[in-house]
Amino acid sequence: MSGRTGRTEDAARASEPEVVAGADGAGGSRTVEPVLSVRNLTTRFHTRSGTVHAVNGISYELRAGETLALVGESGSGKSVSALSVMGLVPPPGTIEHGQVLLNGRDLLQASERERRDVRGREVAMVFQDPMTSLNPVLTVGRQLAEPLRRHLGMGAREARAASAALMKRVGIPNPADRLSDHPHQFSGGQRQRIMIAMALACRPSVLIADEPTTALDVTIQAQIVALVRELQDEMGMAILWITHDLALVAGFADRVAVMYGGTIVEEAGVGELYADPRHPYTRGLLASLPRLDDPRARLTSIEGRPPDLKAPPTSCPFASRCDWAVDRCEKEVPPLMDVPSVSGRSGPGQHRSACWRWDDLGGAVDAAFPGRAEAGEFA
Amino acid sequence: MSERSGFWAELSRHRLALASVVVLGVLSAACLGAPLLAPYAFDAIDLSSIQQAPSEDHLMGTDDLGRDLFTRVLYGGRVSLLIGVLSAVLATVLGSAVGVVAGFYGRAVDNVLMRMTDVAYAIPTLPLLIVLASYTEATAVSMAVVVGLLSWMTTARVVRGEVLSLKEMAFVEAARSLGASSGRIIWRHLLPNALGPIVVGATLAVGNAIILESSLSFLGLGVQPPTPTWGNMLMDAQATMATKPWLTIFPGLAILLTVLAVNFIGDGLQDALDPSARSSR
Repeated sequence: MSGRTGRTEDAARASEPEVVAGADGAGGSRTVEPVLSVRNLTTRFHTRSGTVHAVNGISYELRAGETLALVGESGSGKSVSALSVMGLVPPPGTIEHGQVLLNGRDLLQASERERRDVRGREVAMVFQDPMTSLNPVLTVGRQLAEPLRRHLGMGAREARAASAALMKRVGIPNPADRLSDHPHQFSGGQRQRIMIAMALACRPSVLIADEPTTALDVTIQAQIVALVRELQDEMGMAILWITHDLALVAGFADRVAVMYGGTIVEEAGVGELYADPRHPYTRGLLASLPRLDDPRARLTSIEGRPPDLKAPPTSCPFASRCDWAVDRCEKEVPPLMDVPSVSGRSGPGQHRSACWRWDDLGGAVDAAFPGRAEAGEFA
Repeated sequence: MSERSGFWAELSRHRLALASVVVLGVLSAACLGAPLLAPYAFDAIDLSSIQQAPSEDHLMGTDDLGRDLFTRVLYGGRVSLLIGVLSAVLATVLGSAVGVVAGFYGRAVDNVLMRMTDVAYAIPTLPLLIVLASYTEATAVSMAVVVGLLSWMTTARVVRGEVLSLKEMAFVEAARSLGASSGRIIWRHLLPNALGPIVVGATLAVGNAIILESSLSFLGLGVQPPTPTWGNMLMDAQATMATKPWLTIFPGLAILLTVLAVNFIGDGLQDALDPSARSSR
């Protein structure tokens, strides 16, 4: 045990390639460059009634084939951070500083023209509401063909054939005929499939999925998740999956980053986050999940309100709602600190928590999740 | 391909619109073909047969100079339709451009363009046209241009409002996330979605322009005699409205038919342009 002092980590993390364990765990480790590396990203909205500190210096990395879930409640900055990566923050929002390195190139330094070339080709996005994400007056064939013609320079005929193949791949029956249908002729689930086909048309290396299943009913949710995972296996893209649903991502994310008040408060491998959460907010979120094994259990909630983002952070954003808060939490913003991992590994990218008292927390929350066996092991 | 056929299918389901297309087509063809169809010259005065009621020789009768009214309605339509269509096209293009740019770029651009629109709105059309007409000789084209330049504001405002709401739609963000440029978003995503109100504005503009030309001619300030327009024919007829009604009825009917037909077509177009309103019958 490394004791009570976590190694404070610089928000802008070292750029050297990091060492991750091989998938089989036997052959030691291999080196993988992250495809997307976000460093110290800060996005603010300068409104008439004040500056909204939507994203306050978040950093994370994403490797090929990996899925990082960005979890947080409404207003935690998860969607804004995704739009910042795309360079699509709507006015009056501006990216104040930070780096967004996509395949080694800083998108925030690139010109708008260069960024347009990157969008849809190297990084693409699927949005929350499939009912409004397609243009109602254009046929889906024309919309699917758009990224193909724009980025891959396909001609009309070639793009049509490729669009039909994409429709087929995402599971739309009769793809060739349905290309000339309009969006309203498809169901919500089908429209989300089409959005996924559009996003993956040019085989981007990063897919940002901004709550893509929130607007769909539960059975369709599962189908969409399964489809995206299949396509990930096939194309090997990295996925940044934004959601407020901790239970949803438990099944398929590799790592989870929990956002609160515009900062990442905890990041860990998915199993470890559920087994050994080291931030009071994460613990609160896990405790508030409904339990299926005990139907009489009352739903718990976290008391208080999310922080006012108009004030720049001077304390731990969660301090006012936290049962564990001490004086230090009010005075100093806790940085993300390395936490020794359940798996025995430590170091960047393993387990990080932005809580001064991470070492006092630990073990699984009493929630309906596997992994309780490890409870207490590191407490 | 089938997108087009869906459009035509819907338009043809709209019976009034279809009938209007036929009426307007026949009317336009007749006016364009006036030199071939007209039984007389439009300025042929025949003092031996003035103010005659409709007959075999003169289908719509004759006016107070003995000129054949049918001939004059055909020739008058050339001017009136030209003014209507040309000024509507001008107003629609100008109005859509101003509206879409103002709505899309917002902020300072929006402010400047919308204040310009307010100023243009504040110019009283009829007095200005009267002043212009008293300094220059009004031709059909010059009148169309002036009317067009004075009637784009409604379209601009409507299109701006439409774009303001459309640009917040998720599909615009989705298009951006796939690398579309602003120009492409305007052309491919915003304008097609705003086409309904644009077309309605255009059809209204056709009617308004024809009526405006009529009003000016009625005041004696439009296209000058002996060139007939539907408007100045009405003006000539005002003194004898009660005693020689055909002089009023035929040019009036021509205006009515045209304006009605254009409005019905606009109605049909609006439905045909909205894919979700297209029924799958």
